Amino acid sequence: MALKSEKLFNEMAPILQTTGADLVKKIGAIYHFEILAAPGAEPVVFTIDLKNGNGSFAKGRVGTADATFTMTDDDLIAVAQGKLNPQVAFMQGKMKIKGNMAKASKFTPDILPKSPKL
Amino acid sequence: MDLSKELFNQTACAADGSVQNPLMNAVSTLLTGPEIAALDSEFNNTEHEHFQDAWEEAEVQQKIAEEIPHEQQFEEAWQDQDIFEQAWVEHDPNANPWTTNFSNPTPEALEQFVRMWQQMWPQELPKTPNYVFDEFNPYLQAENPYEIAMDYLANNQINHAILALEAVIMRDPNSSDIWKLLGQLNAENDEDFRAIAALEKGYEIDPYNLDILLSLGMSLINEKSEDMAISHLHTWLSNHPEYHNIQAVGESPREQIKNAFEQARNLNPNDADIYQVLGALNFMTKDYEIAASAFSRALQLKPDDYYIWNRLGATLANQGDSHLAIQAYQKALEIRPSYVRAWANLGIAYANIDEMNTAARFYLCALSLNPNAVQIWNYLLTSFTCLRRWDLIEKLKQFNPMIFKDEYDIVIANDLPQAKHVESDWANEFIIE
Repeated sequence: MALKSEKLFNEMAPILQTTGADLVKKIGAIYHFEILAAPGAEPVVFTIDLKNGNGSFAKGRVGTADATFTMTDDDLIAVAQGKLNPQVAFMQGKMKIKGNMAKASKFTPDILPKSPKL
Repeated sequence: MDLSKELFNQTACAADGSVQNPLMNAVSTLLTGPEIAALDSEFNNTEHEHFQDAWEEAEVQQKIAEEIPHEQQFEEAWQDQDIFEQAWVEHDPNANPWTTNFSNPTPEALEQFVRMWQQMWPQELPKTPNYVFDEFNPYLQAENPYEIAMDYLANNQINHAILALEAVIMRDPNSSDIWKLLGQLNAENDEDFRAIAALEKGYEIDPYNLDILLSLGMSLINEKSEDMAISHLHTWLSNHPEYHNIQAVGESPREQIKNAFEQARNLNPNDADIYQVLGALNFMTKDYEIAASAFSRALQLKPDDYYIWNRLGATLANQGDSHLAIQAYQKALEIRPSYVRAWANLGIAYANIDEMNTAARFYLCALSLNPNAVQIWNYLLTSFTCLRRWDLIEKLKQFNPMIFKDEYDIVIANDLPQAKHVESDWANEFIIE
């Protein structure tokens, strides 16, 4: 069963074509996202490279991440939709972060795709 | 001391799930929404401010030392890792942010991380399932707020109409029609959470109301609440005099709901609502060609329905054709110039073809009509960041779209163009026979 997060990350690809270069300048980090279908499940890893070129997205653990975020599929979607405060999620242990703090703090909604609404 | 536990204990969760945390509430971020911006002034010197002080001190020293123009220096502060590092190190000489990681963080480092991250992450107001009435409502004592609302609607003043209708609903909370109107107007204003809250109230009172169910379906799809959207759309069919006998066939909920509406279309090929739902369902499953075809058929039946033009635009945008999307949004705006959602979508389309100034202009048009739309302020911040207009980013903190009038040609509520009648011919090319 495909993760909702995978759909979300796939929506990023066209965005990177137009604004990727700016995001790379702004963020300059490679992120790994370890997403669990449910608590305790084996994580699926996604790589968002906002350090090189115009940025890119890949399924799987590519390269070395500056910061790695681990959370459930539902929680990442909730964060993306603004329903779950990411700092609260972190403090409650719903979102685990490994790696460099300064780079992790640059993960903001800017990197998530803006979709037009019906 | 385990700071993360400490912070967590300080975090009291309100019954509706919103979070109260004195530390978090006190941190001023760039885009916390107009209401929270007032809290800025509460953020006085506390022991937690070391980081902020160190940051500002580093900036000031750089300014004095090198006399760099403000904009450039702001950009350097944003990107210059040395200043960033300096700010961290000044607070805690043992904390180097470029090596500080999460494996053994000191409590101070954790605290700094959360605060720094929060400053970068624009905050939105907590979302509650209940409809949140506006705090300041000048129509509460009015004699006939309903009439006032209708007047405002006729003059494209959606925000005022919403306020007046809130006054109506407070006196008559059981009117499903008023809740429906509140829901639809909030959706037009790009406030899906409030729209859903209002529509759900209307649905509670009148579970057979087809308009409410349809609007709920649309807003729920926007919010990616697929299961609830599908459920409401099934209810729509079973409450409809023409379609209640349909037996859906399919292996998954998605297949079933699509099949049910396809059967309905076969029963009645001239129902614009059926085509709209088919459009929305295929939008949800990313079958954009089919969705565009369905919305275009709906437009053949209702060429002046601005909702459908916007929906066609959103579909074309997601298909990757921003230029076509722009034309569709413009048609929606010709019919309904106060349509905040369409202005915002127009901005998004221009942002996707890298025309950031035009995008900013349209976001500002949306905001001049609804200055409370936090997400649109966020879009504007992203545009200004891509344009490297640090001077404009500074101005964002005032949450007043009018202060950008010198830079951008903004349409304002009192000055909207006249609504026009529109033909559907342009959309016919998307119809798949």
